[in-house]
Amino acid sequence: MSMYNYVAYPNKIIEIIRFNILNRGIPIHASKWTLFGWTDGIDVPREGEWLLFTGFMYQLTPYIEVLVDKLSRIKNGFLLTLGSMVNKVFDISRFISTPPRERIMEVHDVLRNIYRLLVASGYRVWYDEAIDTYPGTLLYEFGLDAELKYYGERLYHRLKSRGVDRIITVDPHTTYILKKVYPSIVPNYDVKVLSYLELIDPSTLCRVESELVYAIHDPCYYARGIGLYQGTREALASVGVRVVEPRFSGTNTYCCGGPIESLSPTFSAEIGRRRLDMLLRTGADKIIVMCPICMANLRRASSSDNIIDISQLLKRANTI
Amino acid sequence: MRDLTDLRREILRDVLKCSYCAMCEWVCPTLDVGNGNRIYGPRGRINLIVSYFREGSENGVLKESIYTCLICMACTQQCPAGINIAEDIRKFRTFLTQ
Ligand code: SF4
Ligand code: SF4
Repeated sequence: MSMYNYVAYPNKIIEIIRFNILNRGIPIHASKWTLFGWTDGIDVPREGEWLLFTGFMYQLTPYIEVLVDKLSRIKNGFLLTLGSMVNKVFDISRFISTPPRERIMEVHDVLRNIYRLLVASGYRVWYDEAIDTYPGTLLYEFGLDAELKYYGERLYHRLKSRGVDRIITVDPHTTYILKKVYPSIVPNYDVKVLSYLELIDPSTLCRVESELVYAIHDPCYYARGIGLYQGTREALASVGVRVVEPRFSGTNTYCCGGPIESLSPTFSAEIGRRRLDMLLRTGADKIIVMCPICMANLRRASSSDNIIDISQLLKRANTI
Repeated sequence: MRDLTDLRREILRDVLKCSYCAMCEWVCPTLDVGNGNRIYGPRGRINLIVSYFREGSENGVLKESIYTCLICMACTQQCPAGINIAEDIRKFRTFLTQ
């Protein structure tokens, strides 16, 4: 065996994910309730000014958590070869992933809260299940640029057929793809894309009455990708959250390790442990994340319930 | 679809600007975890890309190096030569899936 063994079967894993994205529009299977259940019980308009585009990253993360756990135990390449063949006929990710219901409900709460924050900030937000889709992030990360261009063009066509010209995103990866990558590869791409964190009005937020100290973890694709890090600190400060900075923050942030979770689960986990350690060394009680991938990878490393999404701290002051 | 020869030329033109100064390495999370073995760092990665393009051989070390990269862009903003390190590594992945 080679001394280099952190990456076991990249081409087989990439092939399964590539096939699923291109043919099923999603890298791994998730139920309809998981993807769209966040709108249950709230009346989200079907028309408006700003399209809320979840890109399914929050919703898929609970499934990825289960999958990564399984992948890290596969020691036999033959299983993956067989898997990639069977996958063409039957989505094998249906077999492996059944995340706990509470985890999906947590994700639904995050999305619902983001929607409410935007409405409270005065945006005319709308949502349509038929438009929201996976943004193609893994095609990008795997360097499959020909496929990404094809996928991006299809996505753009779908947006334009509904007259979409303004999009609000909820996670850094979707934001980066729609805001920075597609404009450079999709012809005549013309959509204004902003993360909800760039839009919420701090004066609509409720004060956080807490003695706790929070360490902030910037996601790479917000801080370095679109230069978003100051605004998040200002929003937190305005509601009274006490924030401390870890070693490596802002544009020098240190990746959570999540992006290689499928190609190298052990490496990914070790990076998560090191980042968690840096964050805890600030002496903070809790850690703030703003990306579902960071959430999953840091939680995987953590033994206690100390990692929260920024949207779980930011609550609207008034009622809608 | 863009021709792979053009892509090869584009990546090579960029990575050949490397002067081995190592300014990119201290920020790299994977170099940290790989016990300082340089194949897990930005400088090692782009120079493995150079060797692959020049010598053409693909072995386990190259995949190990390229697929452990997080494409986190921490290295890119350190490089005094202005090499788009993370983007070059990302684009290079396409050669490993041919
Ligand atoms: S993009 Fe890759 S090489 Fe650069 S710092 Fe991140 S992990 Fe290291
Ligand atoms: S900082 Fe730039 S020039 Fe220096 S070793 Fe890294 S890639 Fe090469």
